[in-house]
Amino acid sequence: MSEIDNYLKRVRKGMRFVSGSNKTSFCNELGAQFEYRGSLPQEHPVALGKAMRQVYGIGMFYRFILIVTAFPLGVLSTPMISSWFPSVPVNLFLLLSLIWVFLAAYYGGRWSGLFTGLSVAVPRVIALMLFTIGLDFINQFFDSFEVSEGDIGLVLITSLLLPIVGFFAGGRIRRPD
Amino acid sequence: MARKTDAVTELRRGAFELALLAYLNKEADFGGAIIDGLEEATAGGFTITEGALYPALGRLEKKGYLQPDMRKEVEGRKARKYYSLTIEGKERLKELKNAWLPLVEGMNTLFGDDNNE
Repeated sequence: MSEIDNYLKRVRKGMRFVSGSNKTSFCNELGAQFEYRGSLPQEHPVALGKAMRQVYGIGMFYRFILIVTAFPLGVLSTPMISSWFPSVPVNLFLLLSLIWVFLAAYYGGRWSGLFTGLSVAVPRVIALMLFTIGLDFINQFFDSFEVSEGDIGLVLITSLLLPIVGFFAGGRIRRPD
Repeated sequence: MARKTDAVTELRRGAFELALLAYLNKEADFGGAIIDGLEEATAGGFTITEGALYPALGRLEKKGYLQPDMRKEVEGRKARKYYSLTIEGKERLKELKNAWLPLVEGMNTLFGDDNNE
């Protein structure tokens, strides 16, 4: 493997999770640069790849994965689920959901953060509606559940905050050194 | 551990976008040539590396200030990605220039005779 091929391989490593087309485009650009200058860039290849990942963000596939996997986290973070499964650590799942939203925002940008936040919020809001408007319906099948106003407020506020946090956390720092 | 940045680095960062846009406004150019050209055009004032250039070019392209164009100039060699300014890029350059020039004049006035020290 030539010097430049080895360098580009490590750049690709730094650009992990970036879409294939962006990786190839950037590596071709570096290859052309090598032909012109006849020397490798001074930067560490993995660091250069990571800097470019900050610019491009992760690929659409990985953003989609983050959004889809946020949905079950949203389900498990709903306090009402303890009506059926009392041992589910809902607060832990809420914390995990928040971390998930931050991850999506940091690596995918503000829209990715927003949609991941929405993916967490949707099952929570549905559960909220079921246990408030549809509480009589629920109680036809199960024991008489009660949801306090405090729980309703908490679920509503956290559900609204998650997409907002995702959107605003998505302003990634992209500055040259 | 995060690297600390000093005032000189901050100054260079702030001027870098303006320098890049001003350079590419004169003629479209590609990565390696921009590094050499910018250093020459600023009489050594801007010595940049690939690690600063490519992320900056990527950001400016994403913001719509730069238009890339792939050109294969020599047969058997890789195509080069030439960057030129878009209309939005020209407007951004104008905006930055309008902010920059009074700042430089003001600072020179402030320095006064200290400029010769």
